[in-house]
Amino acid sequence: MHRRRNRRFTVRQKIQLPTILFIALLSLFMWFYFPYEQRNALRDSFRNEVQSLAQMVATGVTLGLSNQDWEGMQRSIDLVRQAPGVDFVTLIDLQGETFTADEDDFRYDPAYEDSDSLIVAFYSVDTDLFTGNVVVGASTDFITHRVHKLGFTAFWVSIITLLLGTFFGMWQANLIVRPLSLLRLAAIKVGHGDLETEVYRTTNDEIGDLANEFGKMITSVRHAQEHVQDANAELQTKNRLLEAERRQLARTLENLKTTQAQLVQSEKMAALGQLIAGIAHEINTPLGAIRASISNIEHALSHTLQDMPVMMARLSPEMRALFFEMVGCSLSKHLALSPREERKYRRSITSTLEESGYLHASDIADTLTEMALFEEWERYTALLQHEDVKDILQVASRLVLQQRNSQNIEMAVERASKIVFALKNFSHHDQSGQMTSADITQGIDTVLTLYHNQLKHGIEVLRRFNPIPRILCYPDELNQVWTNLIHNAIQAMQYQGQLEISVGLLETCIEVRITDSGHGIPEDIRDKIFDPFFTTKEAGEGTGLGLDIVKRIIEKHSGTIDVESEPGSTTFAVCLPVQIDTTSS
Amino acid sequence: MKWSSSLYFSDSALYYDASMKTHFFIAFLVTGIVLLTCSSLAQTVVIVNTSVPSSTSFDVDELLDVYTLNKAHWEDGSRITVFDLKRGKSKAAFYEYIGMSEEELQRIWLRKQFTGRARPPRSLSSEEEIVERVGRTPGAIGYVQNQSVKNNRNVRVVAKIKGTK
Repeated sequence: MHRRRNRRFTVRQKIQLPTILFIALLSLFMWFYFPYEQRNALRDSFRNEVQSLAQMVATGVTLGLSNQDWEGMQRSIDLVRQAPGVDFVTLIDLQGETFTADEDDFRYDPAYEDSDSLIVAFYSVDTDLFTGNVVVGASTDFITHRVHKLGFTAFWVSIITLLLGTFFGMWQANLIVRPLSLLRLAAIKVGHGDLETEVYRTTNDEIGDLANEFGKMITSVRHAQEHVQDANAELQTKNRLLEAERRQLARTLENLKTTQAQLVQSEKMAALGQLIAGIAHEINTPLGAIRASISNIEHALSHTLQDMPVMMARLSPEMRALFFEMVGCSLSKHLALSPREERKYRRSITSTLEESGYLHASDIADTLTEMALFEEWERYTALLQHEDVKDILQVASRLVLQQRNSQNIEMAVERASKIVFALKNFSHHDQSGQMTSADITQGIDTVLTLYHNQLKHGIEVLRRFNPIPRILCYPDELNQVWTNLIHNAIQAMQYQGQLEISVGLLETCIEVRITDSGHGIPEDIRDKIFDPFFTTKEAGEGTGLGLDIVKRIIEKHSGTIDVESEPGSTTFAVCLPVQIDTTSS
Repeated sequence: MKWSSSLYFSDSALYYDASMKTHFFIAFLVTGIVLLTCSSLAQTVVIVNTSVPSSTSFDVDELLDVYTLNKAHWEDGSRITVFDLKRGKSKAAFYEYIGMSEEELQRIWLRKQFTGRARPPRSLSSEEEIVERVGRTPGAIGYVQNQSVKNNRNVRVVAKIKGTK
């Protein structure tokens, strides 16, 4: 329906219309042209005829006048006058005046020459009596009549031709269109999916061939469709299977994602765990020192309280003053010497004392060494020569010991509080999720503090910190970066070697370079180290997520991380832009 | 007819040239004598077929009407047939009688021919022929010298041209 509306002409019309148009044109031609031509031809011949009539009259007049043969003249005039169509025969003189006018009411009018219904012919007459023209006028009515008759005939012939032509055109169109429309109906049916449509061969021409071929086509389409349906069913089954698999995969992916998140979390926890273990150790050391010191102090104090008043009573006031001076001298010394030097000093003091004839020279030397009076003891020889030298030195050394242990406690407390402070710094968590202005160097220091116990045994830490501005960042996350990188460096060096950390300001960014003196990263895995789950450690030992996390955090800061490695020197260079576009994060 | 009249006038001119004033009268006299002699020998008469009603009066007007072809029928309704002489003495006399020149009359006839309303006159060469034809043709009219009539029973003389007596 919709297609038919858009179509301007049907095939039938396309065949019919030109045929009918052609025949109509031919009819019109017959109707108008032939009568017109006939009229012209008739007029031409009639004009010649009238001209010869005029000549006849003129001859009659000339002869009649010269022979005075009036009857002959009259005969010729009458003959012409009676000729078919002749309207008038007259004479006009050279001025164009009608010669016969004064007797006859007929007057020649030059307009007759232009008249369509008249043909006028002239023939000159030249006699003594009259000089002028014979004029013969003939009516063309009979021509008009004949032409009309011809027109009438032509009209009917045209009409009959037109009717026959129209009929013939329609018949011809029908002959062509009927098999075509059958074919079209079949095609529409097929188009609507009725592949059982029968296509009959109606004519034995090209259209018949077309119908034949169309029939074959439908058959093959039917076969193909059956094929397609089978294939479709198969496809649908496969599709369902695929869909199921896809869902399975989606679930797996979901699980994997969850697992990855858990792994990231556990990596963080593991790092934290290691850190905490280190920190526990770190705090435990000063605590042990404090405990030992307190025990020492308690022990020394109880002895001192017991022995000191007895000893004081035995000493003279001068001796007492000297005693306190010696104690004060010892307390003022903070030199912590190596055991070897101590031994050296002890031997030297022992030998000096033995030379001077002191009893218990070895014991005295021990005590003096303990009190760190390596050279100053000579000032207090008066005390050494005292009979109770052993008790005096013991009391003195106990006093110094108390003092020293107090100082130790102080140092241990300081150390512990430092660690606690670092821990506080490290675990400081900004809940706002906003970037805050922070000093990167401070973050690195904090991490170094926390790793102190892992570094102190065999790793030399070189800090090359140039002044840098504070930048907007996520300090906790950056601490995680430093933790990971330093931890990796320590492990790469197997706790022995040199760790160099340099911080500096480049043109637009702060560069942090962490260089270890470890065995380096083999070139073939250098590209993969930032991939998640890539690890060189034993299965179960590392998650392989450490550097992935580092990379993500740095990317969050719009920074970059690069690695340069060769055996003995591996550098991770982190670049953080000074002006971080806050909108990008 | 033409040459006869020109001969006539050339004669008189000859006389006029030769005689001068004194001979004028003589020339006139001679001419008169010649004319008188001629007329005394022949007189022009108008003849009709005997079938023409006798009641008709053939005066000059009637002749003029007939010869200018204005009148086509006699009183009894019979058709008039006009005969004319191609040349001859009687022609000049007759034309003079009815007061028309030959040329004038021929022009009238030519006109009438083209109107088709009148029967054409019949011009014959000899007077005998005219007499014979008028005698044969009912309603015919013609003019001849009186001696040409020769007692033909079929013609009747209806008028005598007076100028030629």
